[in-house]
Amino acid sequence: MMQNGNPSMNNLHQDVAAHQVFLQLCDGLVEELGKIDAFFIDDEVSDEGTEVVAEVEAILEELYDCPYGQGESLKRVVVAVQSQVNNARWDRRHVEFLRDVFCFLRVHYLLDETSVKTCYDFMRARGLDSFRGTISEPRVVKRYRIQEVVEDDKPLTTTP
Amino acid sequence: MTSPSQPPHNPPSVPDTAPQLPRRALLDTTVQLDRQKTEARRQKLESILAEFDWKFSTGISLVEFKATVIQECITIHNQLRRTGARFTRARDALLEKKGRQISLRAHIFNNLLHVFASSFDISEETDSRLAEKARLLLENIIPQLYDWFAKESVDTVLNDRIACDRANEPPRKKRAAFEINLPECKRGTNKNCHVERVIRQAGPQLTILLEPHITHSDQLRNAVDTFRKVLENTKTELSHGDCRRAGDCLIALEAEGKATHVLSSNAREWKPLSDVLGFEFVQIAFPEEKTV
Repeated sequence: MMQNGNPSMNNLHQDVAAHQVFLQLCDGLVEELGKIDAFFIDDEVSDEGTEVVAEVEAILEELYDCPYGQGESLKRVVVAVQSQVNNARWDRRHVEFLRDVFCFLRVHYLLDETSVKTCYDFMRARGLDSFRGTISEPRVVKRYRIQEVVEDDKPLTTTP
Repeated sequence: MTSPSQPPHNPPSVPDTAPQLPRRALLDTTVQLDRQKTEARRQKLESILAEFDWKFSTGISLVEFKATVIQECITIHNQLRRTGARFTRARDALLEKKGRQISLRAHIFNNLLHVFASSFDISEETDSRLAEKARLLLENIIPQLYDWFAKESVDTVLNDRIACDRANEPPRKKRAAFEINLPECKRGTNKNCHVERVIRQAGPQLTILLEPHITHSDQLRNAVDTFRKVLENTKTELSHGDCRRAGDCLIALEAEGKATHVLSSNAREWKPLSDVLGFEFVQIAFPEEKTV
């Protein structure tokens, strides 16, 4: 498409381009989720399924940076999703939740406050804890803490 | 077993036990928070609550929840909202202060870290990104915390007697920040509640009955002092801070005659209140949790 000096036309081109990126990422995510069914042991994703988990987490990071949608709505959807799937032992609820959200988003052109609310409706429908990662302590795979690194990293005391 | 010469045993014509009345649990604010704090506490509390027919909370309890949990989320959100905010600096700034809710604040920061952190060194860029994500997640859940308490967590939030106005106000976001979570209560402006009337009706007897217990409990002493302030001066108007000082007593008065049981981790205040107002007290504790 040719861009001209008209700002509203330029905005339209940017919206269309952003939407295309958004759709590609959603499609990529749904495609990855299609591979995960092979990695279930009972209801949990096995260690071999970490390949899919890592890909989905990477796509979510790209979606976070995608400029599509009204204001910060897409970012808010992504952090809502990440609050459930990051640093978690995935089970069927997580996979079905991801499918619910991204199958919904990719067929709805408008991404706004309502999309955020719908994401949380899907979360609750799958029995996930909507306050995970805020007031609700998450069950995690790894525990993190902030450790200050001293500039001069020689030990403060010498051992004999 | 009866011998053949004895007449057959006739069952009594009236039942041995009276029909069981519905068990109606009043949940203290601490119990409401514990229902969200950790999975283990949630499961334990839900199994206890399953034994009750009805679950209640109160408007004053909702105000306490707004003043603690919701307010801490808003405080952290506002710090993260500042231009150039970085997660580690916001965390340091807010945890270096002293305050009653400092452990709740640390709990929220730690939970955010577990969800959004990675194993890499934090650069300025990742620190800013972490701040932004934490801010956006809090923005999502702050209104939902209020909705959970007010609409989902219990069968009813009792508020008819005191009619607390602050309890009916959900947190609202302006363009960037959430507006003041708990504005001062001013009669004629934003206050139409009946708290002073309730205190004047029930306060005289309650203060006498609680008198033996105030030496053991600062909270009950504060509540009795607040009640006396109202009883001694007909023009006294309370604000939400005053109501929180008398929180347990006001919660109990709101639920009097409606709840049969009170669930709380706070025995020092709720055991005497329950004895005085006719509730059965259920102590909530988590002894299986190891403390360092």
